[in-house]
Formats: sequence, structure tokens, C-alpha cells
Amino acid sequence: MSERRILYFDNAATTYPKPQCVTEAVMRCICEAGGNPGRGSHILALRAAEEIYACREEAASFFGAESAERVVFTLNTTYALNLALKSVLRRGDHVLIGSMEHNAVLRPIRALVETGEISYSVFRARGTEAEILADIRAKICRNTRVLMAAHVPNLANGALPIQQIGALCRERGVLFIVDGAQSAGHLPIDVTKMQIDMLCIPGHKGLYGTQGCGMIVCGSNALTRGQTLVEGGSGMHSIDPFMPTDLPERHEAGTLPTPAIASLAAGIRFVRRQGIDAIHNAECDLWRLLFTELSVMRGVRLYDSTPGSVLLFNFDGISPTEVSDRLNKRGICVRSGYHCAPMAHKTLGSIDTGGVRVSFGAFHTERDVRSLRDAIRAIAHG
Amino acid sequence: MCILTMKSMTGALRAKSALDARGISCTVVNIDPHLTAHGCAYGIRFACANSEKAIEFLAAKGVPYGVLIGGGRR
Repeated sequence: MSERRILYFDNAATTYPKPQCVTEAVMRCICEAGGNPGRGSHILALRAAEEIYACREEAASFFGAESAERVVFTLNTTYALNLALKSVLRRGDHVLIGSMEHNAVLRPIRALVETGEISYSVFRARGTEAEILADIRAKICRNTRVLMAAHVPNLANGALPIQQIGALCRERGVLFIVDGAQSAGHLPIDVTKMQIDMLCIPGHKGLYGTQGCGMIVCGSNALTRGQTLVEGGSGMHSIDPFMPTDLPERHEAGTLPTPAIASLAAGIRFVRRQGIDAIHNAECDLWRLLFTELSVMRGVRLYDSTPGSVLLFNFDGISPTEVSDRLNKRGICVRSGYHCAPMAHKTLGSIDTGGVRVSFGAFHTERDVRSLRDAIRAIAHG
Repeated sequence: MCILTMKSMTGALRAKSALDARGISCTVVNIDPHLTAHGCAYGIRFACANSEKAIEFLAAKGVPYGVLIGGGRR
């Protein structure tokens, strides 16, 4: 299969290929900035620290944060969500989550519920803006401390009205944590305007960096006051037995992945150059093309009619795994199963089988989509 | 040369970025731990003649800073 052209349609898991500027940024970082960032002030340590600071500035500007200090690097979105949540929750708190959440949101919540720390409720994340907001209003209670939800789920395309939810949370004194795993780089996000306390995002999906880093972009001081999740070396205040009190170092114990962070800065610049609207519109066009083709194919079931970057489908009588295996044999990469999102599958009506997910990226063409269509049609015809 | 102590490496780089943009040349340096209350720390070093201008500018931009070392002050 290595001889054949691979058609990659699993960009919701991680984007591929990466832009040339991202590859070059990693190479340059490894070759020229190989010191440990924030650990000493020799030339290579400083170059590494400058790579990281450049990314903080890029991300702060891209997501509307007040300053570079409000960008905290993590391993990935899951780690970011765990840190955001566990740093601010106290025993007896109530948390509100959406009905389309990934396990990165559900499992930390359920773990805290199991130990009796917190309680939680689920609001409807599908429907009209008015329906979603009314349900949230009805479910915020006296001890609700956090509302945590995916801006865009990983199986469908409708975005939550986060600006309105942010305003509601601020009005009711609820911290607003957004899982931006599927929206960062696809839709404009401004943590200040949208009143998002903590935006948790990956570097390696819609921002086109490499795997190895995620981040929390803070729209408020909530994380500054929060408990640490991991403690250790920070390169400063070394005599103190406690972590520093200031962002971002308070929550960045241990060595940061400088090459991944350098790649993320290059990835954000790539998205800026392409234009976030241009990328999104192109993905919507490809989605419409595939949706139109699949909707007339016998035995194909579709679950969402909103254009965007992902399309979930199933075949009558053929398991999702079988479909993805057959596509893989033709050099086409899609993702089958439950996509770590049983809540979303339940909401969409695909919980009994799971599904096959196609997800688009910035480098796809109509020709790619027509090739995918032909392969799916061949499976449909046995 | 004078050194202005900063809360962190990130703070030092933010200050450097702001001062560079203002045309005030500076470098990020490690501060001798015996000069600080908490051990390892960072600062920015610049010509003492620029001290007043640099501090005024950082204050105006809302960039947090610590104390000035050198130039007869500390």
C-alpha cells in the first residue's frame, strides 16, 4: 500500500498532511533551538524559550486573550480539559455539560461524581439557539460552578452559540470552559468577546501543528487562582516548595515540548494566511458534494444535514469497521467506531452501531472527494 | 548595565518583546539566586540610561516587573 496514493479523511482525529512551514519549523527548532526552555539563559535555552513565547503571542492574538501569559501549554486537549476542570472545582459543586460531549469531558466528570466530589447535569446541545439557551437556563442551579461543553462536536457540524452561552454564564456566575478540539482553526473564537474563561484546544488538529501539545487559552483569571494538577520544576522560584502563583508557569511543571509548540506557531500562521473562513467554506463545499452523493446511494444512512468538516454515515447490513477496512484496502483512511463519544452517538441515534466518520482538511480537493465517493459506491455494490 | 527583575521567563520575554518594539535594546538574563527571595529568576538587562524610559513604558503597557538592580538602585 506504500506505493499507492493515500487519501486521508481522518482530520478530526489529527490533520494530515501538515503544511510545509510546520515541518520546517520543527526542523529549525530541533537544529537551532535545542535547549531546555526556561531553564537557564544560555543561547540555546533562550532560543527555545523564545520559540515558546512566540507561540504564546501567536495563540493569544489568534484567540483574543489579553496577553501571552494567558496561554498555558498542556500535552493535549484532554489534559487541558482535566486541568481546567479540576483546578477550579470544589466538593459539592455542580457541573453542566452538553449532550454531544467527547469522553475527554464526560470521563473526568464521571470520575469526580464517582468519588462523591461533584454532581452534574446534561443540557441539550442540539436544537435551535433558543432551545439550547432555555435548557441551560433551566438547569443552572445554586451550586453550578462550571459549564463545560464542546463548541463543535466530533461527529456533527452544528456549533453551540458560545457567545450567548458565555454571556449567560457570566451573568449567573458560572465558569465557562469550552472544548475547542473540533472548532479551533475552523471557526473564529475570541475568548474575551465570547466570555470564555478557559478554551481548551489541541495543537495538532485544525491548527495544523504536530502532535505533542495542546493549550488552555484563558479569557479570565480563573486558572490563576486554581489548584495545580501536576507539580514539579518550573525553572524559577526553585527554593519554594510550591509552584509559582503566576500564569503560565503555575500550570506548566516539567519540560515543555518545544518542537511541537514551534510547529503550532507555524500552524496558526498557516491558518491565518489561508483564512479561517476560506478553510471552513472550502470544507463545507466538499461536505456538500459528498453529502449529495451519499444521500442518493441505496443503503446509506446519514445523521446530520449541517455542512462542516465532518460527515458521519452508515451502511445497512455492513458494520462501520467493515466499511473502514474496505476503504483502507483502497488506500482511504476514515475512522469507524464510537469515536470516544458515546454521548454524541446516543444523541444522533447511532449508539447501536457506531458509525463511519469522514473528516476534511485544508488540502482536500473535489477530486479526492470523488475518489472517496467511488470507493464507497463500490462497497455499496458489493 | 541595569537589570529589571521579572516574575518569570514568560514575563521576561514579554517585556523584551515590548521593549524591542519600542526600540529599547535589552536581553533576557538569569539573575543570581542570592539576589532573589525565591531562588532562580529571570530579568531583562539594558543600558542604565534607558532605565526610566523602559520602566515607564512597561508600566504603561501593563507588563508586570520587579525591582531594578544596578545604576545605584536596588
